[in-house]
Amino acid sequence: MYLAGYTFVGDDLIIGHGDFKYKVIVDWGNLDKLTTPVSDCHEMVQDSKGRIILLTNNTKNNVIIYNKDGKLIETWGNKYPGAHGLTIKNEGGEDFLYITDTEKSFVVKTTLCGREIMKINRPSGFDTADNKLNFVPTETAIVENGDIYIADGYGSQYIYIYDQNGRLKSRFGGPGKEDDQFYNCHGVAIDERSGIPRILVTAREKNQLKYFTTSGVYESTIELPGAYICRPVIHEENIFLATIWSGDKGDNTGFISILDKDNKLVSAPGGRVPQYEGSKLKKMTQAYQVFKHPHDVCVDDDENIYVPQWNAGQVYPMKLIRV
Amino acid sequence: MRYLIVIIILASWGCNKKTQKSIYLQKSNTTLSTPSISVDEAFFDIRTLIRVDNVDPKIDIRHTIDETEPTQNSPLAKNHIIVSETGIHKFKAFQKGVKYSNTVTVEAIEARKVNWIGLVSNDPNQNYNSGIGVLTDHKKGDWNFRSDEWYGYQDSIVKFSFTLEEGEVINGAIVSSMIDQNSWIFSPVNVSLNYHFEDGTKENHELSISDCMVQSEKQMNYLKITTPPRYPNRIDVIVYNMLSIPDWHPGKGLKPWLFVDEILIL
Repeated sequence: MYLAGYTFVGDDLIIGHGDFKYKVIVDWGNLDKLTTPVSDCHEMVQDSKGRIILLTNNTKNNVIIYNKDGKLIETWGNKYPGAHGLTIKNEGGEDFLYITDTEKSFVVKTTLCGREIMKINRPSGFDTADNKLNFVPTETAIVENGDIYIADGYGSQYIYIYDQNGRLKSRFGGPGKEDDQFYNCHGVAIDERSGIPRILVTAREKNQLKYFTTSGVYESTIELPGAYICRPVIHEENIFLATIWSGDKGDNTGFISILDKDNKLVSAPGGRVPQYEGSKLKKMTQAYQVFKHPHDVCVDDDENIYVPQWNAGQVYPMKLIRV
Repeated sequence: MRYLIVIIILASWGCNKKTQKSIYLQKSNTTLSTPSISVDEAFFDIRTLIRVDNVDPKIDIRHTIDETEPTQNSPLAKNHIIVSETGIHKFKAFQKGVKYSNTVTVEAIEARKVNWIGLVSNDPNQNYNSGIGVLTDHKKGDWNFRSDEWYGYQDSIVKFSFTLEEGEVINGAIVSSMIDQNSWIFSPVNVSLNYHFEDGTKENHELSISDCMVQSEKQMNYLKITTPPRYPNRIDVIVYNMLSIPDWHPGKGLKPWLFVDEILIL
């Protein structure tokens, strides 16, 4: 039997398991929908000043910057209709954003004020006589030497490696059933927890995360049956993931997944208690409809989590307070 | 007088200043997730088993078999239910003080397993081609259209031909497909069932589907043609895909996807 693993404090719902339990603030970040609207809320990051940055595909304000209490600080951006992936990287003491646009098929690097520094368009040289490369980038990750890893999650299913100046170096992956291939390589991150940087890629339709070397050689797979995951977010010794669908991929069945240092699922806020039979995780499903379609998690310096959602009725992000 | 005005302004500001208090999600506003229900064989020839994975002892899962919505007074669903007739089974989870779940609907269809040799007029897309055996293996595909149970096409017309053993009585057929419009997967617009008899004669039966409306929820789609009993030696099941995605959809004008996981004989 599965267990939901919920508790209540007074009337307040507590979600999550083990050391990772949270109260849910439902009105965090709510703004005037007429002046500062959102459509899909895709991704969030925290900058060096502690501010929380949201990326939405609403072109009235693609980027919304909050403080941790959910108060609006500023907005910018009106030319990214497919705003999808948001990565922050501190380079020489200054924060920069890397935004992927799935409609305009590019990756753009900007300052925190929205000034565009560099744009990477559809990679050339991969078209064949009967097949034009489909480039629909969903995510980026940047290693210390400045190399940019672009996950073409809705397009060719390759991970493209560019140098810091936007010159294409190589690619790996591609569509297929093999260990080093993907169906929807939706997210990418750099995992440096072992001391050696490795590339961690989401294989969403396979309910897996896959490790590669920085040069793109396949290493290993983490199985998360029933979890249709977005990008991995590595915070301290844990991996956090928005799980956009679960179980049999029914609508509005999302939850949050939290892996420990050994990449074992230890908490699933909104989902059922993770249960292992030996080393194999039992198929995960949602327990309570706290979330519809969570698309990313941002873990702040207080260990609280912000959750933007895709296709959730144009709602602002939720905040989970760790208890 | 000047101090008085300042005091009044400060007092007024203090009264108007709202205390920022977060609103936490509470028990009474929490909705149970849909119960986890699985069926061993959605297409069965003698009997099948529906499995109910209960979330928690405090949660009741209620069940109906008459197509009505389950209520708190409907029968409790046991861990498993033995099914020996075609039917629609609905399940819903209830817990005191918490909002009940959405309904899970499971359809179990009685259909004979027939020994036949199949041919397909055109190959499916290379990414969704698990071999023609999946169309007659009596295994229902799940919601993951990339799984090994689905045949996926963007072609306008697909013909599935089956040669039957002598003496097989046929009462019709069911085409099992999927609708997932977020993934650009639509219902066929027409299904044609052609019987070919040993003497060279033919008989045609049609099913038209006027179903390109917006379907926000994904749906398993059973397209059934019932006929008088016949003894053909070959049948053709011709499935007509929508020519292009309708204007209301983000993919308007492009070719829609058609996914089929089973052809069933009645």
